[in-house]
Amino acid sequence: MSEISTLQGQAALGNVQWERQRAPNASRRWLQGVPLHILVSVAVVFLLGVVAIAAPWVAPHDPIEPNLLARNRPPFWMEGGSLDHPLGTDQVGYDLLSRTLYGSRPALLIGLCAAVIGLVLGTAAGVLAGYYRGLVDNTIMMLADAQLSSPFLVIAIAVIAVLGQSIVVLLVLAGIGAWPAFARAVRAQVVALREREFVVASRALGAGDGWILLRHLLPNLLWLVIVMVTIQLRGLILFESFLSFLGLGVPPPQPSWGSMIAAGRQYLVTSWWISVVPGMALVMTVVAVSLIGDWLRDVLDPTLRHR
Amino acid sequence: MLTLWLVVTAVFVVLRSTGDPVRLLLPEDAPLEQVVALRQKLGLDRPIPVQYVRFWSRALSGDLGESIRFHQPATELVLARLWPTAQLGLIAFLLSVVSSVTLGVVTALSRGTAFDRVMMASLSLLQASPSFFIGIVLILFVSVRLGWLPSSGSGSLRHLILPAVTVALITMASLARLVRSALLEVLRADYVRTARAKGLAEHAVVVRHALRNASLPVVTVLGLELAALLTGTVVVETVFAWPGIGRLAVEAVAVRDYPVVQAVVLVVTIVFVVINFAVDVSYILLDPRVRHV
Repeated sequence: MSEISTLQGQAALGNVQWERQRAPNASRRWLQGVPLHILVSVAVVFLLGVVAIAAPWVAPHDPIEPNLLARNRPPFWMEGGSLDHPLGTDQVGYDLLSRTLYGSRPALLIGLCAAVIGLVLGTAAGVLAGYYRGLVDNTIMMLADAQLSSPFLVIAIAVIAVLGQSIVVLLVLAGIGAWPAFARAVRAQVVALREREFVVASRALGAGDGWILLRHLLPNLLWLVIVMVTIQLRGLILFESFLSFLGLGVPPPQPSWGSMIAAGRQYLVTSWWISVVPGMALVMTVVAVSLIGDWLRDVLDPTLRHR
Repeated sequence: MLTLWLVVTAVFVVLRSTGDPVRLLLPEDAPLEQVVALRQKLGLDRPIPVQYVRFWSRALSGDLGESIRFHQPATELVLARLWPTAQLGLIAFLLSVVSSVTLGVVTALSRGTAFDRVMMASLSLLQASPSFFIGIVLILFVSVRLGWLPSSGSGSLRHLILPAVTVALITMASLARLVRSALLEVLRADYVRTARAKGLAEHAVVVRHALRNASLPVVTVLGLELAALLTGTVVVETVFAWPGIGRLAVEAVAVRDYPVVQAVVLVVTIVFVVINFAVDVSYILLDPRVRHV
């Protein structure tokens, strides 16, 4: 139907207007396949990114400036709450809205940096293993399996105990935690790719390993890696919040959702919002990220589903 | 085994790479003689390879040093805290297996209905929530609002319920989805059609023919989930002040009790290796096809 009407439009109004009509149609068609919950999730993640960058301008208060006169204030819709602290304050008078907005920073920063570290390490290991096979493959995969079957969170706790808590330690640890998943997925893809005609043909024409890796393998890994990053992001954000909850993550008084939830644990009876406000932010973020990840995986590579 | 070796070596490397562990063990203003004495006592004046071998031989004989805070052998301390964690983990595991199989079967059989869709959506939500926040929400509603169960501590069965449910919910969410998809896959198979065709009752088809074959992929994932469940226990213990090894580790880190941290890592790793081995064995028992490979 729409095709006919655009054709009629073209006939009646000429080429310029036809172009104008076509553009919104095309974009709508492109979005048509995307389910509503994915659009919402993308909007949430986008908003989160904006908030993380613009936190100093968006937050109504300084996140590490306690207001001792306004402690344990409830959110504005409850009795005793005010719009000065829209989501209430905690036990030392920190503004919860401001701290929750700032809390998106460590979550996204650590999640993304760790994903990049995991991606670089894992892709390098996976390409080496899948391309060269043999002893290299066995060693790398043995290491990956060994790490996957180890209690990584407990090891991370021990490492932080020795090195002290800092954001850098946290994101390097999270990145190291993520490499085996990348390595396994990339390796499987490379093993399949290296037997494909275009790689075999390129080799027959005398191409070296470096050329094949850069020209033929890496471009074909791009989508896989994008999907993997989205899927891993969920676990990495949770990793940060776990450790911060245990008091081993982002050093205080810098706000992090995990440590904020932990701080409110003692005050659940009197001031439940201290834990629940950052908790909702965390759950919302993780749900949005994992919905996008699952959807991308199903759309781009259904064979990954069971990995 | 390889895992164990790698973890022990990693712990050794991290401990040594940060410089002198004696500096971590003693207060900062300790006199020099004391530092030298402790260094000799711990064998830190020897070359690194000798230290590595000594470290291993002591670890194998169960001697992981003495807790700085409790002045007890670290191994003893950890083993004493292992039982509460195992208790919590096992009950949570049973709960999650029973509930996820039930939920998985029910949703698979009612596929496409509103009930199925609501269940699947809430399972995804549950799967994405961090365990400690689920624990907090449970405390808020069950302990604070309703006052049914204690919010923290240990000692009675009532104390065990909330932490066990919290740990179980996370595992249940992913397992139930898996049971559902595995069952849907199997229900399309020829032998299920045959079973139906020969007039078998629907419940017999589902339980005897479908569920049994659907259990294979589930058991594979069960191993991974059991490991994740143990990690989840570590975090949930802190929420509910449950006296297990996760809490011990977190407390030990807070007071810089390194021998205890080290002992926790080794014990948890051993448990992980044993679990993985048990899963491999149970896989062989369940699937006759694997036995002859």
